[in-house]
Amino acid sequence: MPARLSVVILLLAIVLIAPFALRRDAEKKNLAGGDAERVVVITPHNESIQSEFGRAFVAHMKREHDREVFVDWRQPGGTSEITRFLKSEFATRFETLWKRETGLPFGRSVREAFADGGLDKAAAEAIEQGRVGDPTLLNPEDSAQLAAAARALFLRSDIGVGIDLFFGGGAYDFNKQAAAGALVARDASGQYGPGALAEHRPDWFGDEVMPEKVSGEPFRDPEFRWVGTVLSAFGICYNTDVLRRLGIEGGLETWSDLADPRLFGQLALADPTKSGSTTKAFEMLIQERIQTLRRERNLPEDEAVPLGWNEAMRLILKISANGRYFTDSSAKVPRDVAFGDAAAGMCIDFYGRTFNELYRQADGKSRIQFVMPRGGTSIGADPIAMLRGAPNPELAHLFIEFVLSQKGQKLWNFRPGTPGGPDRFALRRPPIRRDFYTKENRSLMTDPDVNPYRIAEGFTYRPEWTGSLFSALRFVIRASCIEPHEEQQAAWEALIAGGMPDEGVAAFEAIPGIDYATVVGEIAPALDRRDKVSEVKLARKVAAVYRRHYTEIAEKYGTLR
Amino acid sequence: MNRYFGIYVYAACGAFFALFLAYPIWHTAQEAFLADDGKPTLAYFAELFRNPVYVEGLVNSFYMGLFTTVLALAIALPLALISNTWVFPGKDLLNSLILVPLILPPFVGALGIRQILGQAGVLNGFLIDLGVMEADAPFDWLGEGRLFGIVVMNALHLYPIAYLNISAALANLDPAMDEAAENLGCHGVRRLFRVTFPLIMPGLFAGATIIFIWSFTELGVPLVFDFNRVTSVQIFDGIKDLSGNPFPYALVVVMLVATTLLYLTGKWLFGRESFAADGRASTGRSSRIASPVTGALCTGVFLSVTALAVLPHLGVVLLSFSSDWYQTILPTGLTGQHYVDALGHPLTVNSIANSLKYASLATGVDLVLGIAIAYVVVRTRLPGRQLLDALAMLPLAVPGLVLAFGYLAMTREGQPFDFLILGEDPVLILVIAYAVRRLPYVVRSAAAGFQQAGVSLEEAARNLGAPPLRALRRVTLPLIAANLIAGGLLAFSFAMLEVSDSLILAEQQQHFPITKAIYALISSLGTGPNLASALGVWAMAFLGVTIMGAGLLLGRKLGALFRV
Repeated sequence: MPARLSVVILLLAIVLIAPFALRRDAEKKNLAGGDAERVVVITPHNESIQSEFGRAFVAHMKREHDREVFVDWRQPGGTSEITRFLKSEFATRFETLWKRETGLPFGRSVREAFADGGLDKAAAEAIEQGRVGDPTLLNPEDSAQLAAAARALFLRSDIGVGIDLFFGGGAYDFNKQAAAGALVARDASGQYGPGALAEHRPDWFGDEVMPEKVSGEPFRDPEFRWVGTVLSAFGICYNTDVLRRLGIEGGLETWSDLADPRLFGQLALADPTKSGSTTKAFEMLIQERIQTLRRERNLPEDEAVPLGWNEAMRLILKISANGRYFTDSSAKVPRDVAFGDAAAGMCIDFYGRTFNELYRQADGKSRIQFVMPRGGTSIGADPIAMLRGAPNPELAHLFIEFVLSQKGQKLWNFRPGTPGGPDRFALRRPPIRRDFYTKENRSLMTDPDVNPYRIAEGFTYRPEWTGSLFSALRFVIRASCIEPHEEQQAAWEALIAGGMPDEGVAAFEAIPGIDYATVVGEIAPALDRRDKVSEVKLARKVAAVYRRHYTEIAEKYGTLR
Repeated sequence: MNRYFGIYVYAACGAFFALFLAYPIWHTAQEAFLADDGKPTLAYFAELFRNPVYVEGLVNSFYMGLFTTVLALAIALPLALISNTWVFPGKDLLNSLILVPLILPPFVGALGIRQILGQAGVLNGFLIDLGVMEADAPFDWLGEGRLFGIVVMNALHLYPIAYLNISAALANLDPAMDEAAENLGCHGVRRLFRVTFPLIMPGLFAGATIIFIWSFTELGVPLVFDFNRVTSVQIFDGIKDLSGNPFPYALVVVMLVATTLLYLTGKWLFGRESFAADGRASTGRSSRIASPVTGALCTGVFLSVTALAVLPHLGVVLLSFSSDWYQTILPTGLTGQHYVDALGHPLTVNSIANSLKYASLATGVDLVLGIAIAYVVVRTRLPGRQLLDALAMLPLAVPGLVLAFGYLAMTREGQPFDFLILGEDPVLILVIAYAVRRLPYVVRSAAAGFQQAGVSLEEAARNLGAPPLRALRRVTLPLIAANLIAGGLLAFSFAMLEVSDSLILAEQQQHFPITKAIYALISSLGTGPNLASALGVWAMAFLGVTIMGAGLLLGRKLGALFRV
């Protein structure tokens, strides 16, 4: 008994001591930052990016400004959790303010209204009429009036959530936050923030360094409520071993290659309903179809857009039918492909490049390859922004300045250990500054051949074609692909087993209820009405049509699984 | 029984649930009951039942729960009976390993499963080497496994819960009952069904309900199998959807109501009759020493079940040592560097200390609350106590994110519970969050103990003048200590591995628990999954050694732990 007990105590001691023994000396720092000035950054960026930027900014502040600073990273999850987190935080802080200022209850209409960018005009009127400063002028029964007053009070306020910066995500997420009023171009004093930075450094925001738009994609907010720091794009990653096994030679090059029936059950897809940048990737696929039609068949715009949309929908149905899943985790796709659990997938560029490098063998070959689909890639900005009510706007300002400076930009793509480069991790991401891509810098970069500006030239995003259908696109993919995914796969499998009969494939490619005319005429307007119950009803109806449709095909051309 | 004592305890538990379970859920889920104009509506619920995809999700969830429970019991019951009857080679060690399948760290657990069952994984590598599978046509276990695969994986993960509860019940069984049955000519299987099972019903029910609710609402395993037609995954997808539609909260509410109803039905069907023995066994039970053949058989059964159940763990362990591992049975390259990097990471030491603090405090809270609730439910006849009992099981079914965002909102500055954040330290709300989520284990174990221990000894103490609390403390609690230790160990282990509350509520790095450190590590570029696995292995090693140590300290060995 004592012998056994001492074994257990010994084991416990080893387990408990190991982390202390292995703790790196250089990093025995206080995680709270001690007395150092603190900048609080909420971010979906991975740990490698956090650690490189944290270390470099602290060193920069010490050297250039002789100040002890500390970056307090906050990561409640991915972009979707951050969005919820900010929404919940601002709502509770605003509730306190609203009750204090007006003495009125914090009802549902007020809760929805204060962050509703659609009310900005009404809010301006409310301020004009003096209804914000004086609660006695408010009629508690008039919900429209309350809503406008709430929005005005929020926009005039400096309430914060204890966080200085929001760093990382897609332009879509940042536009949403900016519209809600969570992001500001300048702090209350007007001295700090991206807007103030643009005033001090006008040369950074010209076309030579950081244009407002490139190939139709916003690289920064026109009002400077957010600015891009680095670029990213969706591409295709694939596993050469698995493709060979499936009999697909020569790799994959375009989005339409993903519709190859040999890839059935082997595609890792990203979920457009959970991420703005994934929706964007699907939108690119549609735009690519439209442009191809215009180029190849010389069609005018008003004909090419509906035709291109419909063609793209048919393609999406087939790609989805090949899919194993739709995931919200951008890291899962390249991991599954690298481990041979999927043949190919939709993948963000830096993951693709990192995994390619990670599994490169001595002979230079790697089992995981990454390609930017020809003519179907759009380059998007990954932004940074200052939050309303930032506790330390001055330091936040300096952080933004650092990230956008040449010094900060080098961290994104210099090789670890090179002068000015990252310490331990190659981040493999293309910096946003156009003037970064010089011959001198290229010699120190991990991806010297990648010039996103050149890639962007090959493809111009035309917002007027599909931009207004962004939410509708998510809606139709969910209703026609994600919800009836099992039935869709069964139908596709039956067709494959039956040797892809023309008539059956044509039936599969019918796109009732999600064709361009219906989407523009019915779905988009219905979503605009923001009636959430009827939205759910509509989704059920469209999904029901597709379930039935797929089930019929599966029954006709094979046996349902 | 002092009626007022019961009422006080009842009221205190009720208040706790109202504040820390009902309120945060309501805070998040209320949108499902409100139309756009703010008027109450049930339209979302109507839509839910009109949509066959969601109805199918509920039905599949029910099957997932039912079949997992049946399979887990089919695994655990024979093991517990074997262990109760015979002494066989390696019994001590195998008994102390029994909890290991439960301790699968989050995030990396899924990677471990994939390493084993993936198309280029260990199982296929093995089958190809054996020559029973073509190398160019590997079977897609995860893609084709669907509900069947999920049920098997769930059952292999959860059977220890049933084993633990059944073992505790068997240990409390009075051998005199068995002997009486034997004397009256009731042998073998007949005795098992007529005497043993009815007597251990409280323990069986305790284990089965936890497993049922757990697997009815399980999210991780269906996600690994990419199976999204179960309610838990539909909720997860809906909550993360960008459109911000409140529809998923209607699903949450339906899931909670369904859980409550199923639990109460189960209790009505299986949990009613309890043949409480009066007090404790009068004679000690001794296991027989098995003959060499029987002994080898027993060891073989235990060994193969455990080996099968710890395959995902093995996957995580090997991943933590591997530089690459692809299409082969074992990793192609081994390295210890991941441990140096992961354990040496600045987040690690602090997060370990935090997790120990949060989890032990939460277990303490759970023991107090669990005993109190079980006392009210089993020992009093107060109206509504069954509802309290069902409420105590609900935390198993609430999606983590829903509760976490509820807690977040109620502890913000200016909100009624902002005093729970000390400066910037979330320790109090985290302890409460962990305690609420892990309460069911303690409640079930304690309730099973109270039921089996019978009330007569406590009544005797009361007759001799002991006040209710003292009678409880001096007489009943020592009698049910085995159950409490079992429940407490489960609560502690799972609190150490808690995810959602940790991600949302521990904001600053200095307050990170170990699960959030794993989450941070897994996102490191390149070797992230290996680093996270290394930290996950540390957590498994720590919990494994702790459980073994607890067994040794408290009862010589874990098997005997249940025979206080």
